[in-house]
Amino acid sequence: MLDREGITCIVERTMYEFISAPISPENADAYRIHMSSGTSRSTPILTIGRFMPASSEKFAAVENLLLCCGSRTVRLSNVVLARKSQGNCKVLALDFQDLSPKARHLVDDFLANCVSGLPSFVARVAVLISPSTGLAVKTVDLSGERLTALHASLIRDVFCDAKIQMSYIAAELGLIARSCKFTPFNYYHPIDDVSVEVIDANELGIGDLLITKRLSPTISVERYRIGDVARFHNEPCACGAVITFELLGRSSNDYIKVAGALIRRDEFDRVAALFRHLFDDYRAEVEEVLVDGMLKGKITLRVYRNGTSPTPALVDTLVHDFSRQVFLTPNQTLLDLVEKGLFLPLQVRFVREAFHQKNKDVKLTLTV
Amino acid sequence: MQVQTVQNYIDRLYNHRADFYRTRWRKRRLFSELPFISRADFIQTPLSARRYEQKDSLVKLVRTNKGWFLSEWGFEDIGREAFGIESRRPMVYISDSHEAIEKSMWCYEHNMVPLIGEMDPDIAMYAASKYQIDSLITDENSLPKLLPYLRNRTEPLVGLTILGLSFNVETLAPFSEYSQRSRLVLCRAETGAFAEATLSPDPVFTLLPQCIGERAGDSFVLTKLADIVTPIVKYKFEPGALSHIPQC
Repeated sequence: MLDREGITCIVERTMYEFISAPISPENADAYRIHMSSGTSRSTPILTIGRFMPASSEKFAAVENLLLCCGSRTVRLSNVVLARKSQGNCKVLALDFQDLSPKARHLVDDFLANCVSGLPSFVARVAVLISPSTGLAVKTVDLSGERLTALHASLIRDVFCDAKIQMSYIAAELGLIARSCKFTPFNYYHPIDDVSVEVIDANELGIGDLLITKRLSPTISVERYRIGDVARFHNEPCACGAVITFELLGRSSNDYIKVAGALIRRDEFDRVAALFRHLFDDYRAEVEEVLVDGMLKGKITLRVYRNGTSPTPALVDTLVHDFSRQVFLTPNQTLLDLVEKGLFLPLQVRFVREAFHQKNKDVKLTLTV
Repeated sequence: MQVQTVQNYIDRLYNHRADFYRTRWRKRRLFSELPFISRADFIQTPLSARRYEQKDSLVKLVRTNKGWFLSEWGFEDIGREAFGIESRRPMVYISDSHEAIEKSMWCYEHNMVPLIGEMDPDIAMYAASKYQIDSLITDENSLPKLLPYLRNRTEPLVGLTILGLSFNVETLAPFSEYSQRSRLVLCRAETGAFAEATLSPDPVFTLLPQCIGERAGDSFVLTKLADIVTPIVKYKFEPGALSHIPQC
């Protein structure tokens, strides 16, 4: 079984082969560079790979492509794919900083007929644009994270005339699996030359996902523990695919992505340590909510304090000071994001009983 | 020859189906008599009403404190801009995501596989080191963030290009030691690149090919004789927008 350290060695070897090649590649646009996010206490992984031959068809017949990708490397890859597609394709690659009512008339003017990217980002765009613009979209292509019920609802409501398709992609491996028109959201069929396993399954059949894939003529990845949990569904799919798996999220509770921010357990632990004089233990519940037509992040911090009950002043102090200290992006605290309207103010609840320690001592929970 | 070319260009725009310029020029057809346009004209006019070419293109969202607008560039036109220097493994490290994507596509148009830097400097430097970059396209705000990486390199870059409208050369000049060739390029989202200079304490900017520059009081006025999606004709920069006026 291959873990993150093992995959790092493999991708570094791939990178080395590319860099050491005596001449530059004949077709630069056959290659793309991706960077994994480096979450969960691990360093990021930089990979170089070839676009799959069929990938140039990804945006075939797309005239106006609206990209809603999280990272710049993924954004660029998709712009390259749009460039390689046949026909006059215009592409607008949005950034999180573009998510403002100021962009509405611009996105309307662009008049996309295809939207592609992260479900949470696409959902944010969906609440931003006018209904007629939403109707013009015929394809919504989602990848990069699990589709929540809230996001699915928003996307379906606005892009009501669109076919919604999902792809399962990893920065270090590229494309792994795709949905079909018969699969529910978050269900996938592995692509050719990819095999998948689920190990350490619980009573519901949910376990860690292992991926086997050939990355290049000389390099293949065998039984890579990708960090996601999944379960197989044994019923044959109407499309004819014999293998279907449901993706259920990350196996680690060390971080949660929501509302464009990264809620990291180690960061919460760090800040919680600053307030050890105020409380003894905490749990954080994270969710995304719709407020006045805008998607916002919401964090509820449940804290246990041994001894005297907290005063309202203490709660207020904790709300403000914790928010000011905890970073949800490399440069922005929760307080910054509240002031920008991206997150609701922190909710703090004092509990009377100490938290029970569970397996893996889950401190962050995503509410969907 | 240049006057003839300019007049042909003006005539083609005047007779085009798009009326962005025709409504502003009214009956004026001589280049010398044409009124100025500015960024405000871009902000006020939807992209769809100032599109003179239909081609595979990248559309950028430009955020200014006077308003937001879209700027569209054909991929081949991006390739013709003077955004970088040929190398094997370029890095693009620019604060604005749209500009970063555009300059990365410039690399692809020149058959180079670019590394586009994520904004976190630690991650960008890590990636630069892993990819063993040999050239850099950046802006004045972003470049200093890479100083720790540049200092630790054992060899200079093949090329360093700093893009923008305004340069503090006193701050930037020391960076020339990290590259065999260092240049400053005057450019803006909607105009593209229009002048360049070697990075030095006293840079002299020369206009790039197909660019016509004029002085209008304290302002610089640019015309580009290029068949780009939204042509640039008599584009007047705000007074003080450019730290260095190109030789006209």
